[in-house]
This record gives sequence, structure tokens and C-alpha cells, in this order.
Amino acid sequence: MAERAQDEGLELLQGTLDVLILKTLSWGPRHGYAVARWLLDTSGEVLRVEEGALYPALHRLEGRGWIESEWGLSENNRRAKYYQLTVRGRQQLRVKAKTWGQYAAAVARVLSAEKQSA
Amino acid sequence: MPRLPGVRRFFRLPSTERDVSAAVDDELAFHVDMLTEHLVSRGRSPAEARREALERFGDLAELRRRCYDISTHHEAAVRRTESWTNIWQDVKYAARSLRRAPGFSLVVLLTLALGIGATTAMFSVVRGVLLRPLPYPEAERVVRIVPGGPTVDQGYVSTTELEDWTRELTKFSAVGGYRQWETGQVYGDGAEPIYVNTTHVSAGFFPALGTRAELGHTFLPSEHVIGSNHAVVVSNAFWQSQLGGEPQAIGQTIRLGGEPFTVVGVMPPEFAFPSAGAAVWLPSSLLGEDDVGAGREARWMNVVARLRPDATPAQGRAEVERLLNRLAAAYPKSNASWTTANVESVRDFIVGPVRRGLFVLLGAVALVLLVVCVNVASLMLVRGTARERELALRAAIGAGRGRLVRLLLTESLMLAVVGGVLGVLAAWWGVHALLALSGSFLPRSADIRVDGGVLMFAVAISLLTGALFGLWPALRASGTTAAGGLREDSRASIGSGGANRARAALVAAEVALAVVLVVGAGLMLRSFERLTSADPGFRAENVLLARFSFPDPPADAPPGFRGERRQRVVSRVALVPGVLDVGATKIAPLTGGTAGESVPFSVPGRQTQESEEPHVFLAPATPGYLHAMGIPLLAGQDIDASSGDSTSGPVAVISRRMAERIWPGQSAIGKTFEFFEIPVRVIGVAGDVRSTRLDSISGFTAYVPDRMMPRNAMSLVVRTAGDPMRMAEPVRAAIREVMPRMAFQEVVPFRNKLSEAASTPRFFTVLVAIFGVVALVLAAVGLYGVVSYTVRQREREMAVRLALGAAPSRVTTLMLRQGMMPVLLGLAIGLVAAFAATRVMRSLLFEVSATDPLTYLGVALLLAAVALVASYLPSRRAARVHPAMTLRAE
Repeated sequence: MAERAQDEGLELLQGTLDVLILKTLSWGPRHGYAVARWLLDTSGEVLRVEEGALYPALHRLEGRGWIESEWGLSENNRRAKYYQLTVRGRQQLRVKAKTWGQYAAAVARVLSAEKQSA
Repeated sequence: MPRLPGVRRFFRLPSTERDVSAAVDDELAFHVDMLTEHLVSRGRSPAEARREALERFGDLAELRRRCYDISTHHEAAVRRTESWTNIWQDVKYAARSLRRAPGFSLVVLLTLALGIGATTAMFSVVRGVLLRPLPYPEAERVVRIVPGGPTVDQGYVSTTELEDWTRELTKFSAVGGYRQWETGQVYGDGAEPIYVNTTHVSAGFFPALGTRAELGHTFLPSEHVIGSNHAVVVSNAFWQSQLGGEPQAIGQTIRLGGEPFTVVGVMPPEFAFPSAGAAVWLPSSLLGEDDVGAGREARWMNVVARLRPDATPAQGRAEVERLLNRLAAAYPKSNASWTTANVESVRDFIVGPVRRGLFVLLGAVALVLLVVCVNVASLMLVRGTARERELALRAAIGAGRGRLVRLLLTESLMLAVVGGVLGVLAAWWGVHALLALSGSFLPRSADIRVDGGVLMFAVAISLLTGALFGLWPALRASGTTAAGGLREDSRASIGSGGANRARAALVAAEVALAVVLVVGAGLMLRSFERLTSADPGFRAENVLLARFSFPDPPADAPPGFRGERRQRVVSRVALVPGVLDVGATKIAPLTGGTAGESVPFSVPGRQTQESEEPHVFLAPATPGYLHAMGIPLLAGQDIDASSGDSTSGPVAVISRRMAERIWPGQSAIGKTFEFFEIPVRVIGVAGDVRSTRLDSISGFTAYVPDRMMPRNAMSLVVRTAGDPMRMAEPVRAAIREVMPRMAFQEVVPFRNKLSEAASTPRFFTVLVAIFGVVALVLAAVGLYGVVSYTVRQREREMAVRLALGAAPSRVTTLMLRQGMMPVLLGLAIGLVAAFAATRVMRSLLFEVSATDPLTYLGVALLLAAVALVASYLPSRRAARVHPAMTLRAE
């Protein structure tokens, strides 16, 4: 079941990935692999982030100054690039999360609407 | 855990930005490794796991490229921001520390604005007048040819001779004659006709200069032919102001001197030859025998020519002189004394007279800028010493020497930049002031402006001064060692010997520079005083001058018509109430002409000597002219109503100089001289006059009865009871009663002419004097600052001395002596430097030697006195130190 969900993982909209990354980093610095891993685990293996999309997104967010990076040692003593939120990134996260919540609620309302009220 | 070496190698693609590319590779490799490990832990074989991990990435090369692009872009931005942040930090810090010392900052900024502003303004003038290219194509080939000889230097040629030159000279591609007339031409038929500045030019004139008309064309050969030569080329300014600035002006007919002329060309705005006021150019063939005389003796044109590309001025000159010698042999009567020629570049002709003066001013202003730099440097040094503790602290917490120098230099450069901005504003104002002060004597003044080039100059000197006054103090101050500067007793120390020597050296340098400038100013002022108090030979107070020109008389006018109408005007003006005396001549002194018409003369029975002036200036004078003009009659009698009539024959009142040179030791009255074989009897001797320049007495002058040479041009001089300008309207009206619709060149108080004649020396004197005063004030401020600082630093020592019983006066003397030592040194150096430097001013000085001992002595005393005051004021404070309080404070 888990494997199936992974294969048919929902396509992530551009912008959605950004807010997910920011949220992931809001608990502290992580490297890219950990971000992907955490998203997969937390979403119950539903949200599978394409590696081909993750890294450009990380670099883009860094370019915008929402996150910053530093090289450090990983759990298994490998050199890894750690990302963490900046002050501006945290503000962005608040704004984006709120927008996303409203958006998701709106989509949910539409999808669950009764026929007569349409 | 198995290593997967292939992955890394896969990512090591060639890259330009090594670091960024390696970082991207490492990051992605790490992810692949982690993912592979994860898959292995789920039971895949290592090879399978790695393949799957790589597959997840899709097109790895493409991803790598995208990440690399995003990151390099980001890297560059970060690096830019970082360096800007650093500079910005320095700037913010510098601004803060300057704001904390507002007095210091204000003094420095004002000083800098003054120095940079003055230098920039002066540079604008020099650039416009001397450096900007002349508006002629290949202007370096355009020359003036001035013929002359051992005894003549008039420089004119006759129409016939110009034809010879044009035909014979091969080193020149064009030879043109021209003559600009003091009187000009009456333009228009309206109620108030005006005078326009007129230049008659020969066919070679425009080709020699090479400038094309902006509209229409310059004269065609056919427009120089008598009969079809009523054509006129006008200046851009004339076209704009009189012809409406419309292209239709070409072909239009305008009236000049009562005759119709067709406008054939409009010149570009920058064309201003022979002078800035030139308004219209007419073919020289319009002037015939009646106007300019006939034959080779009738010399009336200046010559401008264009050298062929392969000819040098020296070759041109040699060829002209060969031709002149041939002509002298062929026509000894007219040409014998005209055998040499000068070929000068047109640039020298236009700006030559002011070049020396402008360079002296530029040199003087550069000295002012140096004084400014030295002054600011000494202020910075004083401040730097006071900041030793702060800098030592910075050094102690890890700031390197380079970092400290950068910090202090940022401060200097910031001062310089702000000072430079203020300076440019000052320069913009200064250029206007300079132009106003220069009046009309400065050639090419239309080319003077604050433009891009000048701004670049201002930026350059701002940065240069910033580096100059900032670098040395910065290096000195940053040399402070952390330990030395932080020692507890450092506040009480009297400063290192090196710092004291540096301050003394700056004071000496400043005083020396000031001495040079003040000596220059002193010499100029003395010269100017001599010049303006020199007797011009006439009295200008309460005299009204009216200049105008009669129209050509009708063809059928009876003989004596010209003389009678001149006399009628003078007689009518004499009747105006309030007029005390009235007289007329052709061109009054200092109104732009020579003393009179120059003619060769001889004295019967007397051999002319080589060294003599063989020419006499003939000036027509109505009865009463000498009296009205205030030219004293020294012997004999004045010209009266009957002088020059059929019974008296030709008579003249000659100048004193002529009388004393030609008939030394005897009375000139009753003697005879001849010109054009007309014998003239001397009836009186009058005082010498400075007719063209205030600094020289005119050559031999002979006043002859006006009726003997009744010209069209008239200068009417009216001595009035009160303010001459109150008489302007009545005099104008009286003249128009005789000559209706007369156009006036000017009706002005005569003292204006005296003032105008002094405008060139006044310009140079005022500027050098300003520079001198500025240098003096700056030197005083600098000295005051340094001595005050020293006094503050040695307060404790003074307190000890006072506590031990030293008299307060001794303490003052001690400080005073220390302050004055570098001053005396600077004074000595400055006097020697001035002795060398002021020699370049020699040609600007009138009746004052460049080594005038009185000026040097005066300046030395003045500077010593100023320095004494500037160091006494702060020194006095040393004696007022309260011993107990000062010592306890430590």
C-alpha cells in the first residue's frame, strides 16, 4: 500500500513545495535528503518530493534570502549542506501557510458541496 | 557501508566557478549516497539501490546545471552585497564619527568646498579659453600673418598687396584679408537704428578659417565682384535676434548703412572671428578708394591664412619674407620698411594676451588647493592624535592596520566627496562671478561653462585631495600600537615626538604656501594701485561721452560738407543748459582705437634715425576738444575756430613726447613737420595721453583741426556741471536736432571707459588678492588649531610648572615659542619660494618689480603678526590652567 502511494504520489504544485520546505525547516536546520525524508514520513508517504524539484527549490529559496545554508557533519559523519530558516523565511512561512490553509479549505468546500447549492 | 566512488566522479564535470560547482556536486552526491543507503537497508543490492537512487533524480546533468545556475547567481549577489555592506559599514561609521565632531567637520567641509570650488571654477575658465579646440577645422593650420619691419609694426596690408600675396604664396592654401571696424554699421530703418559690429573680408577669409555656413553659404567668388557684392553673411546671434532665427532669412534683404544687402549665409554659433562681437561680414570689395585710400600705402587689412598640410609656420614665414623683400625692392617708396613678417597661430592671436595671466591664476589656485590640503591634513592629524585611544582599542580587538587605514581613509574621502559636491556648487556660482568680473576682455568667454569635463576634473581633484590630506594622517594614526595607545597615562603624555614634528612640518608648509600667495597678491595690488593712479593724461570726471557715426555724404555734397555738419553738432550741443565744455574727435582715448590715424611723417632738414618712431598719430580735434577732455595745453595755443582755414594753413598741437623727442632742448612752437608732403606748423604742445592702454603712453600724437580730417566717426565729449548721465538725454536730443534719426553706439559717462580699461588687470588682481586672503586665513586657522591642541595636550605639564612656581607669562611664552618656530621656518621658505615663483608674473606687473623689497617685507611682517595672534590666543590659555584642578583630574 505504501509503495503504491509512493508511485502515484500527488503532483506538487509549484509554490506548495516552497511552503512545505519552509515548514520542514521551521524545526531547525536540515540537509536536503532529510527534508525529502521528513516530508515523505510526515505525510504518510503520500507527498513524494521529486529530487529533481527539491534541489532547485532549495537553491531558489536561498537566493531569495528565505533560507540560508551552511556545511556541517551529518548523523553518519558525512559532510552535508544544512539549510535553515532566516527571519524573512519565517515571515514567509506564516503568510504562505495561512494562504494555503484558506486555499485548501476553499477547495475542500467546493469538493464537498451538495448538488442543489451549486 | 559501501562507498560508491562512481557517483562523485560522475558529478565532477568541468566548471568555471569551481567552488559553486563543487558544492552542488557534493550536495547531490550526499543525497544519492543517503538514498542508496536507505534502499540497501530495505533489502536492495548495492548496485540496484544506486541505480534506483540515480533514476529518482531523472536527468542528473540537467538538474546539476539548474542548481549551479541558481547558485552562481546567488553567490555573485552575496559577494556584491558583502562588499557593499562592508563599504556601507565604513561609510556609516565615518558619518557617525564626523557627526560627533560637528565643528571639525564643518571647518573641514567649508575649507574643502572653498579649495575645490575655486580650483574648479578657475579650471572651467582655463578650459574654455585655452584648452577647448577652436571651432575651425584643423585649427592648428590657421595662422595670422603680421607684416612689419624694423620701424613699423602696424601689421596691415593694402588691397593691392593682398592680391600679390594671394597670387604668389605657395605655402598657404588660402590667404584672406579682414578688417573689423570700431564704428560698425547702422542696421535697419526703424525708429531706433542700431550699430552692428561689421567686418569686411576678402575672398580668402572664409576658406582660410575653413568654417562652413550653418545656413546658406559663405561668399561665393561672384559675390566679391564689384556690382554684385551687396551680400552679407551674419552671425548666429544676429540671425536669432534680428532675423527671427528662421531659415527663410536666407535671401532676405536687410539694410546696412542705408543700403540693401542680401543675406547669403548664417554662421554657426561658435564662429566668432575676429572677435566675439562680430555680427556681420561684408565683402571687402565694397570699400573703395574713398573709404580706405588707394595704392600700396593704403594698408588697412589684417591677414589670416591657412597653411598647406605639408608646410610649417617657419616655412610660411620665410616665404612671406622673401615676397616682402621682392616687393620692397620693386616698390621702395611704399614697401621699403616692410620686410619682415610674423606668422602666429590663430590660437595665440585669440588667447595669447590672457594666457600668461590665466596660467598664473591657475597656478595660484592650485597653491590655494595645496594650502587647503595641508590645512585639512593638520586638522586630521590633530584629530587623529586625539583618537589614539579609540584606534588603539580597535587594534586591540583585532582590527588590522589595513582595516584602520581604510576606516580613516573612508572618513577623508567622505569629507572630500561632500566637500567636492559643495565645491562644484561653489564653482558653478564662481564661474558666473568670474564671468561678471571679467567684463568683456576675456576672449572665448562663451566657451566657459561647468560641463562634464569640468565635473570630471572636480571629481578627480576631490578624490586626490581626499587621498592627499587623508593618507598621511591615516598611516600615522593607524601606526599606533595597541599597547602604547591604551597605557593608562597616555592621556597625560605630550604626544610622541613624531606627531609633534609632523604637525610642525604641516604648519611650516602652510605658512610657506601662504607667503607665496600673499606676496603674489601684494605685488598685484601694488601694481594695480600704480596703474589706476597713473595719470591717463585727461580728466574723466563729469564728462559725458557720445559715440556715433555720420552717414556717408550725398554724392553731390559741396566741399566742406563733412566738416560743417560735425561743427554744427558740436555748436548745437554747446547750447544745452548744463554743458560746460564740448569738443569732438574721431575716436576718444580708451574707447577701443589708437591715438589717431597712423601716418609716416618727416621733418624738413632732419635725417630720420633708425630708432625713431617714424609714424605720428593724427587725431582730429574741434576747437575746445582738448579743454573739454581735460588734456593740458603745455605751450603755445589751442586749436581755435580759424585753425586750419585758408589763411592759417595746416597746423597742429603735438604731444609733449613728440615735441621733446623731435626738437629736444628747444621750443617746438612754429616748427614744421610733413606728412604726405603736406607741411604742418606746430602751434602748441599738449600733455601726453594713454589712449589705448592704461599702462603705456601713446606714441607721437598730433591734434589737427577737425576740418582738416572730417571723418564720419565722432566721439563727442561733454564736460558737465553735475552727474554726466543726467545730461545724456538732452545731448542726444540736441544731436538729433541736427542729425535726425542718428544712431548712437554709446552715450556713457567717460569714467566707465577708465574702468573698462582697467578691467583686465582688475580681474587678475582681484583674483590673486582673494587667493592670498584665503591662504592667509587658512594658515591662521590651521596654526590656531595646532597650537590649541598642543596647549590642551600639555595642560598637565603646565600645571606642574605653575605649581612649582613658574610665572604665568613664562608659560605663555613657552607655548608661543613652540607655536612660532615652524611659522618662522615656513616664512623663510615661503619668501625664497615667492622670489622664484613670482617671476612668472613679471609681465602682469606695472611699475612694480617682481622682487619688490617693500612687498616682501610687508608680507613677512603681516604673516608674522597674523601668526603671532593665531598662536597667542590659545597660548594664553596655558597660563590660565588651574594647577590643583588639572592635576587632581588626572
